[in-house]
Amino acid sequence: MSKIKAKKRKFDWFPYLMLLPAWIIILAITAYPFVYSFSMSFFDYSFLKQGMKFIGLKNYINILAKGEFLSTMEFTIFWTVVNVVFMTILGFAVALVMRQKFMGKAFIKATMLIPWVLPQVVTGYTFNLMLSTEYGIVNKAMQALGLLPAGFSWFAKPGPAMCAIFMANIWRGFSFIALMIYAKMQTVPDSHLEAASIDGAGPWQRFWYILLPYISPVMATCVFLTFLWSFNAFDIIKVMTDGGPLKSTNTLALLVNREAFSYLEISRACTMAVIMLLILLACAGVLLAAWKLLQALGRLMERRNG
Amino acid sequence: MKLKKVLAALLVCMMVLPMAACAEGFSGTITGITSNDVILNNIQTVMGDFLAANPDLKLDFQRSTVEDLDSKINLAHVSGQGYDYISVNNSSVKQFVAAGVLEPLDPYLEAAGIDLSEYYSESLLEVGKVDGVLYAIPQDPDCRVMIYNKKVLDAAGFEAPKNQEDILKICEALCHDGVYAFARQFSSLGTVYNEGSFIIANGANICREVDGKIVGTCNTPEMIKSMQFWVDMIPYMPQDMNYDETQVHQMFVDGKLLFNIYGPWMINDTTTALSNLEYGVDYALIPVPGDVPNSSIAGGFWVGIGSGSKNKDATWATIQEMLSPEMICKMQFAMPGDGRCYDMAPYNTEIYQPFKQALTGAQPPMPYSTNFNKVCDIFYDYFNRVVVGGEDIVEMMTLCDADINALFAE
Repeated sequence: MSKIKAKKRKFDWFPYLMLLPAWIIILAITAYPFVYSFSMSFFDYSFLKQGMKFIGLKNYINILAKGEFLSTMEFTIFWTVVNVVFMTILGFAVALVMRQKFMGKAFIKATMLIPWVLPQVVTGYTFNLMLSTEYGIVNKAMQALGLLPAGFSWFAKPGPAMCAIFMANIWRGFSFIALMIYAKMQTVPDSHLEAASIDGAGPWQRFWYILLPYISPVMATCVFLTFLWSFNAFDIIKVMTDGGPLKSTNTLALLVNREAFSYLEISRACTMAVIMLLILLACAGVLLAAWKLLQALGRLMERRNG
Repeated sequence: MKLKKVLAALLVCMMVLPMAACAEGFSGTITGITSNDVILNNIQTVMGDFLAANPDLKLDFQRSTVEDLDSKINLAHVSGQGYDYISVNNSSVKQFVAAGVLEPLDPYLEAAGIDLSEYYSESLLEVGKVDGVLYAIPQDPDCRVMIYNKKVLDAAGFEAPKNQEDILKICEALCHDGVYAFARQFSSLGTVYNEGSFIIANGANICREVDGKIVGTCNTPEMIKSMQFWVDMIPYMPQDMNYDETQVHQMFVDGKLLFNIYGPWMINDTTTALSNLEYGVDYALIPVPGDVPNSSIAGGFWVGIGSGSKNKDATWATIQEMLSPEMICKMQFAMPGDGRCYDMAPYNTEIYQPFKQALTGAQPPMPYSTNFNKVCDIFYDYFNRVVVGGEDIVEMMTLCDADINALFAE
């Protein structure tokens, strides 16, 4: 055998060294606070007294036994699902429209992301003013069209208040989904669609069998991200209703904020944050499993159809 | 060798002499935190003579928003970087004492031979005390009065309301076509301090201290009467309850709002629309009408020394200087707690007289405790269930008392 023998491959440290500063920063600003918060949830610690005491799972038991946390969790899940569904439908519809040729398309493409890039606080305050009973342009316009009674208030009762915050958040978020889906749609080869058209496929069939499978991975990602962002939404609700009226628009994020910064109960706030994380992880797991199942079903159908 | 000794002696002198020079007056840096722009904007100028007399002393004051003030003070304390000079929100004194943030001030007052009760009302001093020990002194206290739209009322032939029944009569006559009585905000503290001013004016309290224990006192005839007042006001208020102060002031200036709660910090505030109005012509101030004359809700900021301060004596000297009547008048706080200041400019003008009157009956909205914010939230919830939800007053006030009692029993 020649002297050329398989050298034992030397482990290359260089890439890891290059990544090390980033890892240190990520660990410092995410992992450490998370581990600290997680450990705090097993103690009785607040700014209202000195020292801290280990109490095990008492925080978890007390919080889950209280009706307010569970009712807030219910609304948070409702809020998240409604936002995801409407943002996805609206975003998808806008992306489909954007595929057509029409006047002003370039202008719309250029300004489409404005709702997304505006700070959420600005969005909240703007909607507050637009929906104001006294000064709101939306109210005045809808009353002029006979769609709302005179003196209608979006913020006096739970139902309209929920509609108001949904409107603001969906307006803010749908443009991101629209842009992502539109961008992916632009990469669909025209030849596939033309070939399907020549073979006699109608618009619905071209959409269902070619366009939708092509964009579905991007849609899944958008749905997942929207789910995370909606679950943790804080700014718009805080500015518009602060969880009211009558706690009807209270979400878990607002509850944690109040516990930590108004009541100064640090351990309880950390416990709530950990429970929120567990719920998020569970829902994310369910979403991913559902996505994998859909993909598997899709492959099965393809095999059956030959 | 001799040269070496001379050089060594010179070096030692160079080190020691400056230190000897510094031995006169206070030295070091006093770190402070406040949400009061008046202090931040004026302190270096107003305290010029004091700083000149203590050339090695520096004042390094940090600004915070009112909302973040408590968090910043607590976080600084737990991290061992506590402030020397602390502006304390009136409702937070007990919480800070429980957390060990504040230094007792009685030894400093005794050493200086100062008896604050000669110049401050007992109710104001009590706010800064815990178990009889003084931890914070009223520096920028306030109380609330009612502002009314004099121009609108005069045009309609109405005088200033003398009681809450008068307010309802005026509302019945004038509150239509987009004119309202009051505007509410989505805020538990706002409800306790603003709507709560009328509750206190009727002699009611959300809770009281009885035999050393805080008990809910919402289910009382005085509170029921106060809640009924707010139920009667509903038709005369905008349905939206998420107005911020800017919108409320603009509505008042536009003549669309007849009444509002007014604090002394608004007098010199040029950023509010109210600063465009003329006192005595467009608007006037009166103590909040009710069954108890001159009652009002006290608030504002007290001042204390951080327990972790490494410069307590210098901090006390600074506070003592800032609390002299001359300094208070120069600093132009919103409203002085020291009675001597009302004989000095700018506090001897007409606009401050309602506040001087209301100060005599000023009291906190409830006995301060570490559960202050939670009690505010409990009351806010039941207040809304009555006023917004239309639920029975007695039932809701009974439940409110039960929740407050359960909170203090934990």
